[in-house]
Formats: sequence, C-alpha cells, structure tokens
Amino acid sequence: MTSNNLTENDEDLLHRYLDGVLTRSELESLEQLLRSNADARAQLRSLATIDAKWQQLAMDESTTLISDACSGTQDRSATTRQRRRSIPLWASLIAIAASLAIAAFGWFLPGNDSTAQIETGIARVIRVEGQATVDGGRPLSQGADLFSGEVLSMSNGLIELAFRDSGVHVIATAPLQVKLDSDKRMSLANGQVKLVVPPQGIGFVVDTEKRRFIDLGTSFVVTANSLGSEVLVLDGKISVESTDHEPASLMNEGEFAKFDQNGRTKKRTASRLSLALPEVSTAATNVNTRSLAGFAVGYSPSAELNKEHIREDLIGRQLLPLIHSGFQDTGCLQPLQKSEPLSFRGIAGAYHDYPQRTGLEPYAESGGWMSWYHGNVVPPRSGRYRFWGYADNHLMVAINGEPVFEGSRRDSSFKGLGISRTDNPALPCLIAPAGFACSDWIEVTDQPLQLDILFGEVGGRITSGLLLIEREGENYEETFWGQPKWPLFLTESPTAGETSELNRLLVHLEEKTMGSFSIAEDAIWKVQERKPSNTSE
Amino acid sequence: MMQEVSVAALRKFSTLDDHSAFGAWACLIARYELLTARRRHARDRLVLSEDIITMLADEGACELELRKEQLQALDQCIKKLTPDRRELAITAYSAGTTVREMARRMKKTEGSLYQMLARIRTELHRCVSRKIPGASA
Repeated sequence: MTSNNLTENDEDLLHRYLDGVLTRSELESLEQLLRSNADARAQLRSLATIDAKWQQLAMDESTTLISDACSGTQDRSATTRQRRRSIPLWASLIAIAASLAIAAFGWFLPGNDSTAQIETGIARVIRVEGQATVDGGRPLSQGADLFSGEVLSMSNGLIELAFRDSGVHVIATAPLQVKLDSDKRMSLANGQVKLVVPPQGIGFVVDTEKRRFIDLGTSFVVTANSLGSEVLVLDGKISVESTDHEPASLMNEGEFAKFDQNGRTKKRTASRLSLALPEVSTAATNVNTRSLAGFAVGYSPSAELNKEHIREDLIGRQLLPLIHSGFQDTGCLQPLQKSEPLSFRGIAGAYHDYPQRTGLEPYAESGGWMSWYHGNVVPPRSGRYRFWGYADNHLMVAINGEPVFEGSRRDSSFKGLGISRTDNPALPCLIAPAGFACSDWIEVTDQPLQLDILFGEVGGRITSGLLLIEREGENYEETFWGQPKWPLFLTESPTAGETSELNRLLVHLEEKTMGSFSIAEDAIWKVQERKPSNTSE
Repeated sequence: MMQEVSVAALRKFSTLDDHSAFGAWACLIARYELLTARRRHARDRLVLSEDIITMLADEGACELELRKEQLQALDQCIKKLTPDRRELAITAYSAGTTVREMARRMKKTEGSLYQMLARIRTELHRCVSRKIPGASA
C-alpha cells in the first residue's frame, strides 16, 4: 500500500491516465477506483496540479524565448534573469484551472497512437451571424471546428472564433476571406479582423498581401482589401513587417497605419486612444427641479498629496462610509472640498477636464475626485433592467441605498465591496480589458426609487466612463462588432447641444471599435421628488 | 484537450477585471468547459465518464486555496530536482513536443520515458505532501 490507502497499482493507473496511455480495460478499473475512493480523486487532482505546473513552466520559457526573439535580445544573462522571474498570480490561478482539466482528461503527452489519430480543428466558432462557409462549401455554425489551411468566407455578417492552442480570440466581419494557415497565423485577403491575444498567443501573425502584422501581446484590428491594408492597435504593441523584407517597425496602443496595395505606408498616426476620446463640453452645473442633483468632491490643495497617493485611491476609500450607510451618512464628505452644484448629464466619454468644468479646481489632483448624484427617480416602465458600462476609475450605481452596479477599473476601492458583476470582453468598452461590465438584472416598478451614482478618478487627469441601461426583452440595434447599442443612462432629456456632442461621441466610439450606445428618450429615468418605494433585485 | 480547456480558462481569466472572482469562475470552468470538452472528444480518446469529471470538478473547486499553496510549494520542490530531470520535464511538457520524438532523440523507449516522468511526478508529490499536509489527501 502507498499513502492514502492507494495501492501501487492504483497509483500506476493515475499516472498512466495522466500520461494518456491507459487501455480501455484500465480506464474501467480507474473509473471504479475514482467513483469509490475520494482519496484517489484527491490524489489525481494533486498529481494533475504538478503537471499543470510543468506546463506553466514550459509555457513561461517558451514565452520568454519568443519575447527575446521579437525584441532581438541576444544577451543570455538577460534571458536568464527573465527566466528566473516568479510566475505571476494569474499564471498560478490558470494553473489551478488547468489542473482541474488535467485531472479530468489527463495531460496526454503526445506520442502514442491514440493521440496521433485525433483530428481536431485549430479554431472553433463561438458565434456566427450571417452565412459563413469554408473552402466555398461547408457552412459554419456555432461550435464548428476550423482546420489548418481552410479558407473562411462571408458575404455579410460577422463571426467570432477562438484558436485552440494559442487562445487568440478573433471577431471578423464581412465581406470576408481569410485563410487559417495554422494555430499561429492567418492570411487576410479581404475583410476586417479584431484580435485579442493572450500571453501564450504572443507571436500570432496576420498576413495581408503586402504587410505582415505580428502580435507582441495585444489587441488590434486589421483591415484588408484589394486597395491595401490598415491596422489599428487597441492595446499593447505589434510588429509590422513588409513581405518585401523591409525592416520591421513597432506600433503601440492607439497607433493607426494605412498601407497601399504595394505595401507603402500611406498614413500613420500616433495617439493614446484614451486621450483621443471626446469630452462633452456642455456645462453640468445648470441644476433645476428636473435634475438629478449632485456635486464633485476632492481634497484641498493644502492636503499636500503626491503621486504616490494615487495608488492608495484616497477618494474612493474616503467615500466608503457613505456607501455603507446607504448614502445617508455624509460625515465622510466633511474634510473634502466641493464643486459647484451639478446636474447629472449621463456618463459618456472623457472627463479629463471635469474638475475644471465643475468648479472643483483648484484641488489636490493626486487625491482624485468623485462626483455623487443623488435623488428620487422613476423608471420609464416597470420591468427588469441591468446596467452596462465601465469607468476609469470609479463607477457605481445604487438603488434605494443598495449598490447594484459596479463598473470600476481594478484599482478602484469599490472593487472590494463585492458587488455582483460580469465582464464582457467580446463587447469592447473604452478599451478596458474587462470590456463592458454588467450588473445583475434589477426588478423595478414604476414607482419612485432612490438613485445614487458615484463616478470618479483615483488621481491624475485621464478619466473616462460610460453608463448604459438595458431593459429585458427590448431589441437594440447592434454595432459593427455585434454589441447592442444600449441607451445611455439619463435622468432628463439632453439639450440640443448635448445631443449633438453625444452623437459625435458615439460615432467616435463605434468607429474606434470601443463600443457604442444610443440616446433614447423612452429610456430616461426621470427625477420625481417623492418618497422612495421598495425595489427588489 | 487539456490545452483547449486551459486556453479557454486563460482566455476567460484574462477577461476578469476582478481577479478575486476566480473562485466562482473556476467552478464554471470546471462544470461547463470540462463537460463540454468531454462530450466533444469522448469519441476520440479514452476519457473519464461525466459523473467522475463532475465529482473531480466539484471537489476541486473547493480546494482552490490548497492548490494555490501546492503550486507555491512546487516552486521549492522543483528547485530540488537535478537539472537533468528538470530539463527533461520541461521539454516533455512543452507544446509541440512528443514523447516519441524525445525517446528517439534520447535513444530510449517511450515506456521508459513515461516511467521517468511518473517518477518525477511522484517525487514532487511526496515533496509537496511533506510541506503541505493534506495536499495529497
């Protein structure tokens, strides 16, 4: 007997399963063992975790080597140093998930006949809207496999794919003709593809006729047709090569480049997308009886804060007692200075100049700022709603004193409040890795309810946000990338000037692939000065 | 198949803005990805039945803290391996490596290589069990 009441034969079965070399009769014996013996199941998970660790180490070395190759690093000592770095937390967490997978299926080291016979695709269809075919014939549907060398065509619609080994996530739009050369390369003849590349997919290549785009850990959009190609880097960096062996160049987040049919660069622009986001300029200080009223707070310049304080999210932590009290106890606001009275105009776009526009300046910029809107509103119709959005940095909505939506960036103290939220990276929002954040469904009646909105900045001057509302059962027009254009969450009708600016913003968002929205009069939650009623979630 | 599931895991993990939500997420991975993958590939190779995968996933989801500790302990245990054994394992677990090719290169049989890898696995398992009582239970 060995440890845990397992015989050597039992342990041998576990190892052979992990190695993928069990015979059918041995598998039956193993199943019998695992069904009846919790120790055996625990040991299988434990051994699988060891396999996951090795896989992690192997992947880490491979990533380092690719990274070295791309950066031209020849310095072995530098390489050695990189290899010694500790594996980050996310990698460990992935290893845990992988260990569950290994325990379920085994590691299956290739090299035996059973694995050699397997024919699985290199990519899988996650979603298809419109008609997609491969090699001019086989129609594609959700869950279908795509194999190496196949040419995918679409005359209209879009298709979402995930590459199996590299984990590269692709949304492609018609008219489309793209060849899947391998799990690390695709050739785009016509159409537009947006890629999100995880760490193990670094080095993924998109070939066009004259230009080659190599991912260096990023998200980017490539467009190609008979007139040439374009690339927009959404996040991270890529290497751009010419098929004529011209020197490669690097492109970073926000850069856009256009190449003609001969591969010559026609245009190249550099900008940080987050800085390029339009800011609505109309005043937010015209408070009237129909306004959801609020104000912004920040620390006085005399607080003598420095950049180190940005990491501490002083303003977010300062306001936690207000949230915990159901937005009743305003004592925590006492030490702060206030802006002019504000009227809620929705949250959309950039807010880089917000402290200036609201009269909060001068304030201690490193301490951040927060706007708080509070009042009683009436939903346009009873039913189930949910909030969508994201903010750099703070965004929270509370109904009747209870937070129901948190769409903050990860450096916000609001993240610690445990508010239920799902992230939707396939629906890009303000280039956040999380994509759109989404609340649970919230059931409301047509009676007034207390609404509180917090939106703010941990420190510095780069702020953006988007807050939208969806009603269950409604149909919404969709963006190019298949994101429903949920209405901007508003509590009163925008003025003509605001509408014009918001339209400019939504066109910008849609064109830059960062998600979009609509402005709908029938989605406005109008302010009504009555006592709040019950709301159930 | 393992690659596919872990890639799915990584893809989904990278989507989590709040990485502390890993626990709930891992349960989902365990439940859905594993069972979906099993159904898709059951024809191709010998895999455990659904009821066992469900048991492994459900129990595994409750052991997340233990697994994190085990992964940390493994760092130290792997350092104790001889460089040859460490190199062998990393090569074997690298994407694109086949045991057959390794065996040919090393002039060994595939069976003996699997045995060597199993011995390394066992050694690490014992090392971790000494450091974290309960890791093997």
